[in-house]
Amino acid sequence: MPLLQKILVRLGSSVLMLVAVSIVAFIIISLPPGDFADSYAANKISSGETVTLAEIEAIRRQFGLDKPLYLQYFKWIGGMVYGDFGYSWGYSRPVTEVIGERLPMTILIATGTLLFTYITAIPLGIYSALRQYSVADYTFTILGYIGLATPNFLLALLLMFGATTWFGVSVGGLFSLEYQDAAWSMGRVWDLLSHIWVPIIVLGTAGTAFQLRIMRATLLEELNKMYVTAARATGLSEFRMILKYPVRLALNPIVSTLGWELTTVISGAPIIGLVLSLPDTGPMFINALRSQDMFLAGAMMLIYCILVMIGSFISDILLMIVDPRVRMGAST
Amino acid sequence: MSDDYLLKVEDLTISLDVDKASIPIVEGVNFAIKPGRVFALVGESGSGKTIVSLSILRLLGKGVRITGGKILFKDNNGKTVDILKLNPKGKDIQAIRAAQIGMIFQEPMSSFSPVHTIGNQIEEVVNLHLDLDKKQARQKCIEMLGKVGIVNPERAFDQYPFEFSGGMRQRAMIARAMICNPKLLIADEPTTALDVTIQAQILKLMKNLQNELNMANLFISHNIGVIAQIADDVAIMYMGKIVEQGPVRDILRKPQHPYTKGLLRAIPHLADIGRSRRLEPIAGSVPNLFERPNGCPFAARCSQFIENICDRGFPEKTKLSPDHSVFCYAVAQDVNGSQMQEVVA
Repeated sequence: MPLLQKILVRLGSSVLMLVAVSIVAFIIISLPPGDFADSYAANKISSGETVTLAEIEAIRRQFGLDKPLYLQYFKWIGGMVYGDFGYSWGYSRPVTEVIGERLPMTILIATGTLLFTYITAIPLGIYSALRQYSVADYTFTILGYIGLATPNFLLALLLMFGATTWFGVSVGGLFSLEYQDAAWSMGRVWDLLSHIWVPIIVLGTAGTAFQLRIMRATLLEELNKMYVTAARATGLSEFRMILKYPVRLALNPIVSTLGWELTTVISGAPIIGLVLSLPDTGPMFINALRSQDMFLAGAMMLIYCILVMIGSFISDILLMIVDPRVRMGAST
Repeated sequence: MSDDYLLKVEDLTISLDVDKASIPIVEGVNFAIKPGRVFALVGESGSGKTIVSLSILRLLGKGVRITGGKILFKDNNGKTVDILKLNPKGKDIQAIRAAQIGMIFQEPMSSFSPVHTIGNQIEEVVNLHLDLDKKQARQKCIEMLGKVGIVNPERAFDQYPFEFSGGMRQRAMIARAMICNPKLLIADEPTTALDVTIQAQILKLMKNLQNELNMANLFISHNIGVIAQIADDVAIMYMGKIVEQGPVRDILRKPQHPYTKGLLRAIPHLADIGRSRRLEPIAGSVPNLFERPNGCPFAARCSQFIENICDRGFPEKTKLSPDHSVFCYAVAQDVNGSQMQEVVA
């Protein structure tokens, strides 16, 4: 079974990649000068307390910061195998807990953004290609360029501004005040849905514009191919012919860029989380980086990488399903 | 011409839209295809032969417009339909495509979708036009694949086009075009992209199937050698116009139009091997579409060019026999001249 074999090979290489990524993540979080003990002391001093050198050394020893870097790495990665991601100094709680309560929101926003991107981009791209140079095509093109050119944080601010001045609703965060800490109920789900569209639109607009252009361009190219004329010559209706043949082939680049799209969403998310004050991993990640809360920052960096790897894994598998040439390793 | 035609093209004119202008690329083309006969349309690249063939199934692309004429087709119900009056995206033309008029294309490598199986793409035609259940449809496809000479058709049914060679793909294409037993098969340079031995096999296959199913055939080619093997009737096209037309024997043995003569001189002959005869190309090249001459389009390259006649409008038809006709001032003068002499004598 060559397909299964390919998937297994792909999985194996993902694991190797993960190891490499964990080393890089650890090096990055160890790079800034000073460590948590230093920034802890700085915090104390700035709030008027006195900290002795002995106290700082004690903290350093307590967290193993006095050991060589590679030992620290092995301790960190070794714990991870058992699901122990270390301790967040900033939150004074285990990293798993801190991340655990925020990660579902991040995944929800990322998935929502991807769904929004593809559900909008694919049909509009098809429409633009079939009605090339129509008013609608030009409209989508112009909107698309504006979408691509607007920085996410600006879009977020504009949306927030618009929502408060014209509709009188606050769109920051993911929940209204009364549902902030409430238990899950229909009301809370509804409240979430009425807030979550803002980050989804902010994160998804550029990707939607990009994928729309790709869909339009590839479909236009496919429509000129011989197999389209040949399929038309069988008496198939125009609509079914277009969906079955050229659209199917034009999906190819869309599917294969799914991994990148997810990368863009995930790397754009923390800033947007901060701007919109979302209770997801974004603001937490940025704070952890600033306060040198290294285990929290490292774990989060690793999780972001894993999400991207899962995304590109799914995109590779989808490509194998969509295109038999990829599945069977053919050259033409 | 008698009325026993299957398909008759009358005064077909097709134009290409370029910016705001519209250039004629096929002008006043007339021919008729009789049931069960092979009609060949011959010409150089750009002569408009492919455009004519695509217009019969209304498959012309954007910017190519049919500006006049009729294409009369006697359909399965015995009615005569003017194909040019049908909506190119409508149900009526879709019912004719593949079911009554099948088509094979020049590039077997690209005329199948690369991501669907061969079987899927042939079965689709069966499901569209024939009333068979899934098992029967599959069976019919496999039979047809066997008939066009594909080894192990059962396996081929589930294979993808990229697993096929060029020759196999063209066989599969023939199967797809002929599975509903159309009365007319249009073959647009079906062997051009294949190497010579495969060409011969495909031609033989087409000829056998055509005899077996008593199907008419519109065969498009630039290759006179291929035409000699397969055609009954021939029309020679030059710059969107038919310049000579008649039974294949007359055209090959007694070519009249200087262009036809030139084409025949440009073919290598076995008898010439060892002799130091060079092939004679036709002097000059086809004028560009934007510089279409006023008179006979071949005038600028013609050895029998007559000043002040050939450059004044397209020549009238000259009939040499009931079936053989030619459009040439020089031939017309000869023929009329000899008739005059006969009268005088």
